[in-house]
Parts: sequence; structure tokens; C-alpha cells
Amino acid sequence: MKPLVTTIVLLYSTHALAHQGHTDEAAWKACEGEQVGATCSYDRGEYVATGTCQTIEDHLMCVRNRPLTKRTDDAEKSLAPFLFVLLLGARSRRVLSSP
Amino acid sequence: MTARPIRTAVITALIAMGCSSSTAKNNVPETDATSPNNENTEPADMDGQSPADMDGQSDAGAASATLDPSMFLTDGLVQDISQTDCTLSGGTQTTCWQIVVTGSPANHDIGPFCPRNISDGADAGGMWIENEQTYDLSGAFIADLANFYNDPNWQLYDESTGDIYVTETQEACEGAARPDVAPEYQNHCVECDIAYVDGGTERTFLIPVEPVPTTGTNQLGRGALGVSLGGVGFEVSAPVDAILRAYTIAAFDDCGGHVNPFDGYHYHAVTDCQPNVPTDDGHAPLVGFALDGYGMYAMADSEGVEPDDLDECRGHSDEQRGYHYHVGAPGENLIIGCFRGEAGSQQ
Repeated sequence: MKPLVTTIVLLYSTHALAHQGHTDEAAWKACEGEQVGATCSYDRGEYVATGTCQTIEDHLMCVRNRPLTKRTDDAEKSLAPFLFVLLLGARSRRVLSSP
Repeated sequence: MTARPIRTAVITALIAMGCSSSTAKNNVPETDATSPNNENTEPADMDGQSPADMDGQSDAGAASATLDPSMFLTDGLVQDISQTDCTLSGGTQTTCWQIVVTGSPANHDIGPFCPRNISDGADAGGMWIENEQTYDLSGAFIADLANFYNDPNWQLYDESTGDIYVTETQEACEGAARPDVAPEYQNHCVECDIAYVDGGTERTFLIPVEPVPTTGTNQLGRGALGVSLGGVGFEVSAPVDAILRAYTIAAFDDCGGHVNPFDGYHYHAVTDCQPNVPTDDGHAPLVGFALDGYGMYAMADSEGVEPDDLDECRGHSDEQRGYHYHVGAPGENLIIGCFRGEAGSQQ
């Protein structure tokens, strides 16, 4: 009886790691070396997820608690052509108007 | 016009754009209809009927975060919800709701999970979660796994027939649902039939009638973190990649649930097929209760706006509901982050 109980307990204690699907690796890498409650963030495609590190089944994981925000570098990238044209236009007008 | 006014105008435009993009509604990513699924987490309201309406009971307290037994679908319950003495995780002795569920969803079928051939369409399978997105688990998706993960070791189908390797027996299901997946079950799409647990695993949830807040937070333990209004447990997700290392896909159905031999059918995500109680003030609908007794609501309100003041557990308070949680998106494989109150239990 005892070996059977032990087997069942062992099975239960390990099964959880396999069947549950997995969260984004970035969400728990964001909390490596951090403490519970530390602010964390990680990239989610072109967005940034921000939250705090929480213990989920003995692992620290970044739990998002803010709406996703657009990544700053993506925003700058999308504005780059617009800025270039504006600055180029300003420069050419200054050249034309100079004596 | 000199360069300085232009620069000023550009900076002003940048600030304006930055401000507009900081609103929660605009921050919801647009979803590519050709790849990941839409992550709309606002559950359908059962054709306008609340769970209470569906079984002909009162819908009193529909907007409240206080647990009312009439909110639950009776088909998901083994017996009437009752009250009993209980001891919470912090040692508080109090009265709990005793909710005994059948372990089978009251309002939808279970599955499908794995497609059987790479020619099968999306209807033949459920969904998969990766990079915080949900994907239709179609035959084409299975066929493309090596590219998807950029790893040629993914080979879940017979190249000559296109048949997908699926755990078709209880033995295979149990062998694959472990971290040390046996070699013969690697490169399988893993699914377990609800028949292996006699059609459902009866579970008892003890949830405090009056939540007992804690000064800090309580971490989520192993197992269920709460229960849906349809009588199915919401489970904690493990931040491990064990299943990927074994080249297995532990498929979810389109409702974000799957079966294992221990917990039976359970959810890892809140999707649009779980029953809910709609609110009358535009707030997100109620989808279930956490083990600490606080209500769990969908992620976004009727306008699609996600709250921007959630605490570390993904909860906040308002006048109508008091303290309550808002669940994460299905692709996050995360429902709430921790408990704000002393937790009851689940057996």
C-alpha cells in the first residue's frame, strides 16, 4: 500500500510541470535574479508588458498588471521617415533662403 | 520658417502621439487574422442570458463581486452550493461556500484538442499558446512546427501519410503528461479523453463567504486558483518549458481547457465560451471566483478597455464591486498573479 501511495504522490508532484502548457519564456526570464514584488517588463512582439515579479508554483514570473504599451524603439522607427522628410524640408528651405 | 519652429512642432507632435498611445484602449495589440487568434477575453454572455437566467434562477447580485450560488450553472454542480466551517490559508476560521463540481463544463463540449492529419483544418483541433498569442491547432500548424520553433526535431506526423502522432490511449496520456516524457511519447500531440476520468473529476472548492484580506499577497500554489461559473477549475500555469523540450504539444481546446488524469478537465485561460454574469455599468463580466473569495472578471470592459490600475495580483477596487480581479489574456497562460486574501482550498 505504501509504495502505491508514494507512487501516486510522486506522479502528482511531477505531472503538473508537463501538462499545463507553458508561459512565455520572456515572462519568467524577466524576473531572474529579482525579488518578489520587483517591477519587471518584457517584450511581447511590438509591445512591452509591464508588471511585478510574483511566485507561481515556486518560480518567479513577471505578472503583467498594466495594459500593453507600444515599444518605444518601434514608435521611433515608424516616425523616422516622417521626421526625415520634415527635417530635410526645413534644411532645403534654409539653404534656398540663405544669401 | 526656421528649423527651430519645425523641431518644436515635431516634438509637440511626438508628445501628442505618445499621449494618445498611452490610453489603455489604444494599447491593445491588433491581431493578425492570418496567424494568431484574436485574444478577445470578453466572454460571450450566453446569448444575453446570465448563468442565473439560464437555469431559471434569480440574477440577484449580478453586478456584485460577492459570491451568490445562483450565479453558478447548476449542471456543473454535483449538489447545491452550501456553507460549511473552514480554515483559510492564513489560519482564519470562518464560513466557506462549499462548491462541489462535476468536473465537466456545464455549458460547452470538451475538445477537440489534436487534429489527426496535417490536412485537417482548424475545426479539427483546439488551440496552442506561444509567445503570448493563441494559435489554431490545425493540421497545417502541426506540419509547420519545425519552422515555428526553428528546430528540425519537431516532427509530430508521419511524412508518408500526414497522420499526426496523438496520445490515443489512457496509458499514452499518462505517459506524456509528465515532465520526463517517455521517448515513445515524444513528438506527440498530447490529449487525454475525459472518459479516462469517468466523464469528470469531482472537485470540492471551499471559498470564504466573506473574503479575509491579507496585508501582503499570497502566492498561487499548485492546482486550482479558482472556479468558473460553469463548475470548472481555473488552474495555475507553470513557467517551465518541459513540454517543449519533449517536443510535445499539450493541446488546449478552444475554451482554453484540457484534461489530465488528476484534475480532469480544467482551464488555463479565460476565453469567450465560459459562462459569465454581465454587468450593467459597462464593467467586464464576472467569470468566476478565486479561492480567496474575490470575484474574477474578464480582462476588458464593454469598450474593450483594460484597467490600468491593477495591483500585483491583477486586482483593484471600485465602489460597485469592492476588490476584484481581472484575468489575463488567453495567450498569456496566466489568469491572476496572486491572492489578495487568505485562500480557501480545493480538493
